[in-house]
Parts: sequence; structure tokens; C-alpha cells
Amino acid sequence: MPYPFAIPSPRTWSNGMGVKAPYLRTDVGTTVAIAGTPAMFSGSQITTGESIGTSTPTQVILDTEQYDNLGGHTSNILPWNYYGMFPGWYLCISATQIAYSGGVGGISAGIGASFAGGTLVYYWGQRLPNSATASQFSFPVAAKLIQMTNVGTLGGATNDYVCAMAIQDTGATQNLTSATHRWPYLQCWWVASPTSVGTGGLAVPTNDAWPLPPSIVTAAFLNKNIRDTANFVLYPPICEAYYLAGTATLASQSSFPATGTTIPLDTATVDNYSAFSTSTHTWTAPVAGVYWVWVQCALTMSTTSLALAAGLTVSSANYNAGTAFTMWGSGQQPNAVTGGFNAAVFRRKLRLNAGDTLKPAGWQHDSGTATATFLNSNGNDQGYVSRMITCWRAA
Amino acid sequence: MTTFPQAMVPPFPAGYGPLPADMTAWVRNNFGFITTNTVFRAEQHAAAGQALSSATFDALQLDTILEDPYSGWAGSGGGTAQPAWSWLAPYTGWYEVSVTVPITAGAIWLSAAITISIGMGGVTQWLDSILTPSATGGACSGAIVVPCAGGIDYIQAGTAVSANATTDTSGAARYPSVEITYISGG
Repeated sequence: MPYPFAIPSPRTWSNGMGVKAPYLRTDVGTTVAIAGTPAMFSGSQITTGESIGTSTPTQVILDTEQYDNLGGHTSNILPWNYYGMFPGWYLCISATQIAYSGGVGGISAGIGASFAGGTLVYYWGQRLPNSATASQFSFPVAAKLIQMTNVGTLGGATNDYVCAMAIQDTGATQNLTSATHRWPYLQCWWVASPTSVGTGGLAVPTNDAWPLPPSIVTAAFLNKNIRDTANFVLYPPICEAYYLAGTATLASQSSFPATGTTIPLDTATVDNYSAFSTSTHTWTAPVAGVYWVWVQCALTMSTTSLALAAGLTVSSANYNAGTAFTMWGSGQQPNAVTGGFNAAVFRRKLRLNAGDTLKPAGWQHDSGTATATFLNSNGNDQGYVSRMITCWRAA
Repeated sequence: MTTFPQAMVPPFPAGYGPLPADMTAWVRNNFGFITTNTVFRAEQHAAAGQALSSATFDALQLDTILEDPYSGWAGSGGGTAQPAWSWLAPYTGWYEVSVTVPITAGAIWLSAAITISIGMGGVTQWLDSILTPSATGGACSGAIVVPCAGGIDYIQAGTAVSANATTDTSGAARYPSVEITYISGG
């Protein structure tokens, strides 16, 4: 079967309606093709050793493809970009590394995107200080949900695309590493239909056994096990929220608290199951399942900063015997300069019950007990911001 | 948890009168596989943590298997087709592997990493690499999507450090963890 060109709209069945092969091919076959082999790209920079100017946001050349099932990338023309070839939301992850251990400045990984031929925008992820020890290179990571709807033309002037981004501020041009298996990379895969066509608010499919005689197949059975199941897998719960205000502060703590300070995320980019509250900064699992979760804590810190971390406050019977607590992710050294930008990340896949709650958390330690500020560098969802992403992955 | 055969686009041949078993295979099993995925989740809880050696890849010795419906995990003894502390992919396809490694030591270089057999030539791919804070144990968190041949390729997730260190297993807030989910049949 060739790859589908569009998201199907599974039909509503009614009693007496013929169960025809073309109906099933469209509603079941197409859904299985899309969800079972989603549009996906994996590419790395293995040979180039690209030059990155200081303080210059730079798209990462992807000279080697590991996977590109819909042909959205070419290594010799516009090799930075993965062009969307199928509409929907894509979960994008990247990592980048420069061959530098001179101890000056920092490095950030990011995801870049262009929509309908517009200006390239970039969303920074983790920011790390550079090591001062030979052959120890900082290797930050990034993640972002990106919706691509202008799709289908490789290299098209108005076709949406994503790319991996890097920025460093050592004061001099540096080269990305091409050391064996420390390659900068971009990976992205389709996770949901575009918001304009998806059907939200559905229950997790139960995949009922097909009726055996003398039982009959009813319209209700088909609507539950084909229509609603297909709609769910084509548009599962996804959410991304970020902190826009950029004014809240984070006090210094010398050790990780049992419950971390909540990052006051106040704006949702996407929330198809209405799971996130911008007033309580809490995400509530709309349905049970395994969720991909990402938190990044972006801070402006000081010369006396010692450490920072991102975390996730979890309230679920599946963890810590049901007592709410904060899981802590990357605990890292800071870029300790006045007004220095920093970003730590947290990443897990968690099994949650409907009603369980997650809150993004931050932590920082300062030798002079100075407060840090939750950062928003651009006044929107771009640049350095604190962000949380959740994406349903399995029942 | 019910497991299902790997999803394949069903034929639905015109003019054929399907039996219930056909519809089970074409509809229920395919949707069942897609919705339940092939999930592996595990943590390390051992009170003493795991000793990590400088400048070498250490596979995380996960001792608390949260879910492994396809029974791919091999612990300390290894398995017939895989080494110790590895997870054998049940189906051919692409899998996202995420690993988080908190440690107790401070002020060292710490990197997350995975090793994959055969599909990637049995090599180690380095992921998130950081400098841990001086006074507080740090943690790294990396992820990557990798190809595996079902029943053949295995995945080990772990870490490397610049100086001897120990994983932090002091509590639920800091357990080392690995999660693997299937993305595509490729």
C-alpha cells in the first residue's frame, strides 16, 4: 500500500450499513499505515565538522540519513532541513556538540522551524557550560512538538520544515564534533493529526474481541472498535505549555527538596484533551497510559550560581506509594555569569492513571543564596523558555 | 498486559467473506498493537547504587522492572541471545530509548549512552553529556531513536563518567531509569 496522502475521517456506522472492503481499507488500513509506520526522520552530522560562529544561531548540516520514509530530506541540497511530507504534529529531538574544551562560554541545542515559507524560528533546549578538560565535550539536548501542515514538497519555498540548531559563545568559531558516535543529530516522528482535523476527548481503545456467532456485529461495536479507535490513535493526547511572563523567581536551595518549586507555565501551545491548567500550572492525565514527558527549566542566573536542575512533580499511585514528590532530571553546572542563560531538562516516559497530575519543577543552588529568574528570552515560545511536553504513547 | 503481533496493513480483499478470526487479525490485533505498543520501563533501586568506572561504558544494572510485556529483559545472568543488562527487541523496527542517570559524585563529566548490537555494529552511541555540580550529585538524561532487528538486536542503556562514581538510588526522586517504546516498523 503506498503511503496515505491524507488523514482519514473514519465513518460513523449505522445498522444495516454494508461493511465493505473499501470502507475498511480507508478507515482501518490507512490508520494502521499512518500510526504503525509514521512519517519519521533520523539524520546526523557525521562527516562535515560544521563551523559554528560565536553567538550565531546555526542550522546543523545533516550529512547522513539513517531513516527518511517519506523523503523529506536530502543530504546535498538544503541539508539542514527535514521538510514535512505528511500533515500533523511531530515530536522532534536533537543534540549537538562542539569539539571544544577550553572552558569558555556555553553551548545550546535547539530545534528550528519554518512555517509556510516564513522566517526560521528556533526553540532552544538544554544549555550547558563548556568543559575545561580535554576531550570532555558538553552535549546538550532539545525537544519540541512542531505542527507541520504545509507539506508534500521537498525543498518547497512554502513547505514547512524543521531542523536541528546549535549556538555557542566561546568567543571564537568552533566546529561540531564528528567523533565516532558523538554525532549531532535530529530525529522527528509523527505523533498526531493536525489540530484542525483531529478528534479529541475519546477514551483509550479497548480493542474488543470480534463477535462470534450467534452474536452479530453491530453498528455500536464498529463505531467503538473502528471509528473511535482510529480517531484515538490518529489524535492521542498531546500537550505543550511554556512560560511566557518571564518574571517569576526561583530561590536558592542547597539540596533537592522533596517537592520542587513549580515552574509557572502560563501558555499552552497545544492541548487537545484540555489537560493543562494555565492557572495552577498543572497537567492532569486525561486518560490512562504511558506518556512521554519533557520538562525544561530555563533560568537567568548569576556569577555565584552553582547548580540547576529540571524536575517533575508527580502525583500518581504508580510512583512513591502515591505520595506526591518531585523526580529530578539533569542536575548540571550553570553558565555562571551575570544574567547568564541556563536551561536544564527532564525526560521520562511514565505510566499514569487518568486523573494523575504532573507539574514542571525547577531548582537552583547559589553560593550567595541569590535568586534566579525563570527566563523567557524572546517574549514568545521561541528562544530560551521553560516548557513542558506530554505525549500519550501507549495504553 | 495482552501482547499483539506487529502491526501490518491489512488486505481486506474485495469479494471475500471474512471470518471473525480474519477481522480479529486485521482490525483488533493491528489496533491492539498500535495502542499497547512495546513498552519497557525499568529503574535501579539497589540501596548501594552501582559503581561506575572511569572512561568506560557501564550498562545500567536495572533491578526493578516496571513493565516488560514482551519479556525482553536479561538481568545479571544475560540470556541465550543477549548479554547481561540488556533488552532484546521483540520486533524489527525503530525504538526510542531514553535513559536518565543520577549520580552521587560532584564536579565530574557524566554522559548518558546506549549500546546496540548488530543494527548499529555493536557500538556505543553517546547522548546527553554534562558537567555535574560541585556540591550536589548531578544527572544526565538522553534519548535516541534506533533500529533493531526483532529477536536479534539488543539494547543496553547506561553511562560513562570521567572519574569513578556511584549511581544515586537514594529514593524515587533520583532512581536511574530506562524506558523503551516502539515507534515504527520502518
